[in-house]
Amino acid sequence: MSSLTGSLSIALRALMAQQGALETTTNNIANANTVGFSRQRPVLSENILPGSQLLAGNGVSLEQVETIRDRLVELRIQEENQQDGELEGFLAAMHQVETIFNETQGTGIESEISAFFNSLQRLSTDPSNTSLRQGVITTANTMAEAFRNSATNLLRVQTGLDRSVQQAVQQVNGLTTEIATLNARISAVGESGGDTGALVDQRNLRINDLARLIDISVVEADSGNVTLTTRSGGALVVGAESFALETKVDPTSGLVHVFAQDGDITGAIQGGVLGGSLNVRDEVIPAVLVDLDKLAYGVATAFNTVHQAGSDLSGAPGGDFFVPPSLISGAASAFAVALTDPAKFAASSDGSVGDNGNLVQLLALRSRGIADGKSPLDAYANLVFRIGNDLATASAKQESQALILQQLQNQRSAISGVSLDEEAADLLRYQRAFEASARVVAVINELIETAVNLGRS
Amino acid sequence: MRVNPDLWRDIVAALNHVRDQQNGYLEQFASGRRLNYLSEDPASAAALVEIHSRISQADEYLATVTQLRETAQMADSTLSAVMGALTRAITLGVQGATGTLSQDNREALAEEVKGVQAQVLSLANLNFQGTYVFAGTNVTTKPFVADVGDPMNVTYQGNDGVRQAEVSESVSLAVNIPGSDLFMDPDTGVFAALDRLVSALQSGTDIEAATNDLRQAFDHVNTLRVSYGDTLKRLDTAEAFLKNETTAFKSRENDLAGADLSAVASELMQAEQSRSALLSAAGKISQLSLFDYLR
Repeated sequence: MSSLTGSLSIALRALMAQQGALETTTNNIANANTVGFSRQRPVLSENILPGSQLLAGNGVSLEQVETIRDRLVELRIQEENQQDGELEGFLAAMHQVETIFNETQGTGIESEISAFFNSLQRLSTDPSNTSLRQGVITTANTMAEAFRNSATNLLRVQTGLDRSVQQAVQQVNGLTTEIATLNARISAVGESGGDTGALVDQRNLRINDLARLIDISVVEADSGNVTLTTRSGGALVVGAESFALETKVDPTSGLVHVFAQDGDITGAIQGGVLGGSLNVRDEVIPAVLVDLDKLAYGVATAFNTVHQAGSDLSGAPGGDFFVPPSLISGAASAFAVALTDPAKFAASSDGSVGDNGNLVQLLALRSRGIADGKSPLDAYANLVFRIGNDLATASAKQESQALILQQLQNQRSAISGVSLDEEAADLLRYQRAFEASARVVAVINELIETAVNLGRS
Repeated sequence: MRVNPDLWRDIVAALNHVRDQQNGYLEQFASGRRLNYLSEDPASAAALVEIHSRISQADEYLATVTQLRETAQMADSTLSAVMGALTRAITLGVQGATGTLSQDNREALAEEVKGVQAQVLSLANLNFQGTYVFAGTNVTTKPFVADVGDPMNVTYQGNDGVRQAEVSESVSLAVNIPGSDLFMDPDTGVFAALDRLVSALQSGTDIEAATNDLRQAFDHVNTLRVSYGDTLKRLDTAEAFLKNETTAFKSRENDLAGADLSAVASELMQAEQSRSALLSAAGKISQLSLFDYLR
């Protein structure tokens, strides 16, 4: 049995539903430029009267506000952010290494090695000349200093990366705390049936930031919570609890290591800015140092051997020219000239003052495989190539990575972005529906008045 | 299907990309070099290590050639003077061999020959830039010493060492001729011959034989002197080769690392054109939405 009051309540409920829809649309428009915002859609559904004999429905109600998002695209964005962050960290660190060995201008270690051999060549026409002998010692010292400086600079880049690692870990901890808090709020709001759209958006932004810093695995729990773990399985965020990472200086290397709940995860971090920086600090720079050490060790040892076979100006056998390196490791930092007296340089091979036989042997070292089987300049050219090549490959990867990320962001925008045209059209619709329902209220009001005044004359 | 309502992200990314390119070209223009970082072309950067070294090595070889040339020219002109002196002594010997001279005349000739010997001794002890040229490799010791009591008796304090010097990757030249070869050869030694001539003139016998010995000594020195001339020629060849090599290396270096400024200029212009096209297209994108039409 229909009634006027029944109709009135339907109209009133409609007013409220359209108002709610308008509010959602207004919220969308207000957040048109908010980063990470996902547009919301009001879900209006018909009210059904249970067990009613009447055919008419019971009006409309705003069932819920649905947030339009594609979880898959968002997860892909998080993954690509990890890669992008890793390349960012790697490139920033490698550019510092590139500067140390920039041979494109011809003013690096190569020019010092060449100058050293050239000074030997100059001495070969006049081996007893004291100032030319001094010239050999001087160029040798300059060359050794260039090696020492490069080694020092590499170590300096390493300690600089230590600082970035610490800063990144601090940022990670800040983000995991925030994510845990958001998890708690999302659970609470979800349980009480409220709309979690805005909170989830915020959490996604934080997770994206986190993914840029460190490689993570994201697992959705059914309570709307998100569990974050490191790739190696260590927990970062579980429900409302966050687990902080720690940094401690490792006693053997003197460098900062990252610790999670289950121990040292430094070696296991592959993605994000942390992954990239740690890769350069712990893999690339030590490899470059090894090559530099091998070169210094090879040159010093081979040179000393030949030098000791000759005789100096007084006819005495040659001693050590370079300070003999005890190990390959650290040979570049310790590369130094032991000879100070020009008269003690062993140029002669038969003891006579004007003979340059030993000098010729020393000059021959320029093209002999004394540095790990390669000639000194070949070995150095290889080192330079490796650094440049690693950097060039990573640069190319970053360019394509940036494009992938851009495409994914565009995709996400297409799904969740606010289109002002669409919102304008929705605004119109809900406005008209509201006006119409208000009109209905007015009409029913008149009808009720008529009914009430029926008995009047 | 919905389309991405936010166009600006792509536009800004494209503008940044073009700006990046422009910056790259400007840097090439300013430095004149195509290669400013290892990562721009790692293979070329590695090749440059070798090329820079070869260029400086070639420069050093050229310096060696100059140095050797000076030494060889000095030695050659000294030997020329020696040969002049020997010619004088031979003339004196010929004079002395004529049968009409008195003992006094021959004594006078002998004294002149002693004077020639003193001259040759001083020439043989040539010291150039601090070292003795004809001492073999005993370059800091005066090679030819005349006996105090018997100045015609000369002993050699040098050795027979020969110093080699590289003038290019695979070419070595002998830097010196030892005094032992030049002046002290057992059959044709200069000082021995001069000594014999003096004795012959003083005694009056075997003057012609002694003069012939002196002629042989002269020929010996002449033959050896030719090798300095050869050395000078080889130095000229080496110099020409090194100069060619240097030019070739420098041109290769330019290919690898130098910027082709005209190409860079045109690329820069193109980038500038892309940029203006992008900007004007972006400017034309309608800023209107449905709101502007709902009145």
